[in-house]
This record gives sequence, C-alpha cells and structure tokens, in this order.
Amino acid sequence: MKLVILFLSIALSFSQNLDFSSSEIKYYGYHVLHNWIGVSTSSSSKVLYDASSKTGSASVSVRLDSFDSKLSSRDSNMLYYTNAIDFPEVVFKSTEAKVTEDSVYIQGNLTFHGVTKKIKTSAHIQLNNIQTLSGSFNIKLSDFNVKRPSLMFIEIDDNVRIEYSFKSSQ
Amino acid sequence: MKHLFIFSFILSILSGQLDTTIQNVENMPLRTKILWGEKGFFRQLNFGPENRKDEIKLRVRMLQNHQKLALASLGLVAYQSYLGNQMVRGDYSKQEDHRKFSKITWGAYMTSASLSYFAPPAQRYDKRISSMKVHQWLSYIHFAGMMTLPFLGKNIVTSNDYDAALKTHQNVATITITSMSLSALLTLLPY
Repeated sequence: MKLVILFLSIALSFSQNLDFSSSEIKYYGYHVLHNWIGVSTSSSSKVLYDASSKTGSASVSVRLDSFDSKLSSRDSNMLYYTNAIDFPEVVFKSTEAKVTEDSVYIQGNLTFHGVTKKIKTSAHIQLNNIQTLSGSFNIKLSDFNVKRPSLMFIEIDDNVRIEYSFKSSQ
Repeated sequence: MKHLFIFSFILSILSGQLDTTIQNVENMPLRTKILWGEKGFFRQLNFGPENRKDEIKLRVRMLQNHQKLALASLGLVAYQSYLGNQMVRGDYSKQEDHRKFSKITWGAYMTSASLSYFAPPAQRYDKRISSMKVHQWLSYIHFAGMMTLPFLGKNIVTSNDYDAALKTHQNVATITITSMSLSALLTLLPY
C-alpha cells in the first residue's frame, strides 16, 4: 500500500493535469459557391503533461450538436449527414505527444461517424500562468465514410479543416 | 418545456445518444408548428415517420428535391415570362405555349413548395436573421403570386378593361419572378 502511495505521489509530481477551462473547436467547410465555419465551445478534454520526459497525453471529445455555423438549417443537415443520432460525438485520443519548446507534436486516433483514423497534428503550447494549446489538422470526409451534401447539384469539398484552441483560466 | 429539454439533454448525455429534442422550438416557423409542432396537424393524425431519425432523413430528402424542382420551376417561370412578353409585343402564336406551360410551371412550382412547406422540422432553430430566413419570407410573396397568376391570366381574356388586366398580370408576374430569383440567389450565401 505504501509502495502504491509512493508511486502515485512520484507520478503526480511529474505529471501535470492541464486544466483547460475554455475551448474552441472550429471546422471549416468548403463549397464552390461559399465557405463556412462551424464553432463549438463546449468540448471536454483531459490533457496531461509530464515535464520531466516532455511527453503527454490528450483526450478530447466534442458533441456534433454543439457546433454552430450561424445557419440552423445547415447545422441540422450536418447532423443528418454525420449520422449524429447514432454517433453523437467526435473523440480524439492521443497515442503519442512530444513537447519541444513551445510546440507539441501529437499523434492519435480520431473517431468520427463510427470510424477511427490515425491523425497527426502540431500544436502551439504555452505553459505559463495561462496555459494554452492550439493547432489544426485536416481530415477527408470520405475517410470517415461521411456522405457529402450538395448545393446546386455540387457536393461540398471532401476536405475539412479542424482548428482547436484550449485555454486555462489562470 | 425548458425542464423537459434539460431532462432529455441530461438523459442523452447519460445514454451517449444525440438529444433528438428540437432545439429552440419556439423559433420554429408558424407553418411548421401548425403541421409538426407538439400538437401539430400531422402529430394529431399520427402521420409521418415513426422516429425523429427518420423524420430528419425525410426532411433532408424533401429539401434536396425541393432545391432541384425549385430551380426547374424558376427556369419555367422565366420561359413563361419570355412567352408572355412576346404576346404583349403582338406575337399571338405563343398563346398556346403560354397556356400549356402555365400548367406545367404551376404544377412544378407547387410540388416544389409542398416539399419545403410540408417537410418535417429541423433539429435546430434560432432567432437571428439568416439568408435562409429571408428565403422563407420571400416564399410567401412568390407563393401568393403563383396562386393568383392563373386567375389574373384568365382575367385578361374575360375582363372589360384589357389593358388594366394585362398590366396587373404583368406586375404580379414581375414581383413573382423577382422574389423567386432573389430566393434562389439567397441559397448561395453562406450565412
């Protein structure tokens, strides 16, 4: 028992839980006729950072119905095409995270529309009084078996850019 | 209603399912409320899909077809406008075509309008003014226009004042085609 407590206290002294109180996840949709941005500010995340080994781990989940693209009919359509009733969340779980100076290289699994794919992203990290983590990556809707909606007989672009930003309150 | 929404939201989180309760139902357009509201006409008749998932599926299908048929209707209305103007300029050989196409145009337009008006509700509504909201408001203008145009067309033949009847028909047709064109253009805007 003492050994377990000792192990836990050592582990906690090295591993820091980054408590992000605010988050913003954006997706950028593209179509020949116009582009748009959907924003969610209600994701849940758990980010751990080990200062000694300069590694960490992250898990983030965001509900699809929390995205607002400033057009409710488009948001409703998005929920249909992403089959959000059966797959209401997009989940990211890191498998590797290496911190160098003010950036972090993250590799992990993104689960969307019931399909899990490996993704890589480079994020900017700040570990001062106010901790921030922000970055972006691109996905293809076809990789996640998402049927694309069309406007004026033209489908939306297969590529979607994801931008994320997490910030602590202190 | 608010408590019901909170309760179903908590329940959905616990079950890992999307909350299928319509968000901001108070902003739902009146016509959708009448048909698909809690005590709406279709709900009373128990008409429509069995669950919300199928309702959303049906809605998307109906609106996709509405989009295609509305474009075809706009093309037909533009052609009708051309035929009508030829007649005004004295080419009465177009009269039969104008009459024949009026039925096809009217039928295509009304089918397209029905697909939009009768579609099940969206998953989310909001208060802010958007291109789609103006698109819906304009639909009341061109719908009223399309309802009256056949009568106004017949009125040209039966009226004692030919010029006045023709002018009224032309004016209503111009308002209808302008509002339809604006309505179509608005769908191209992002917000």
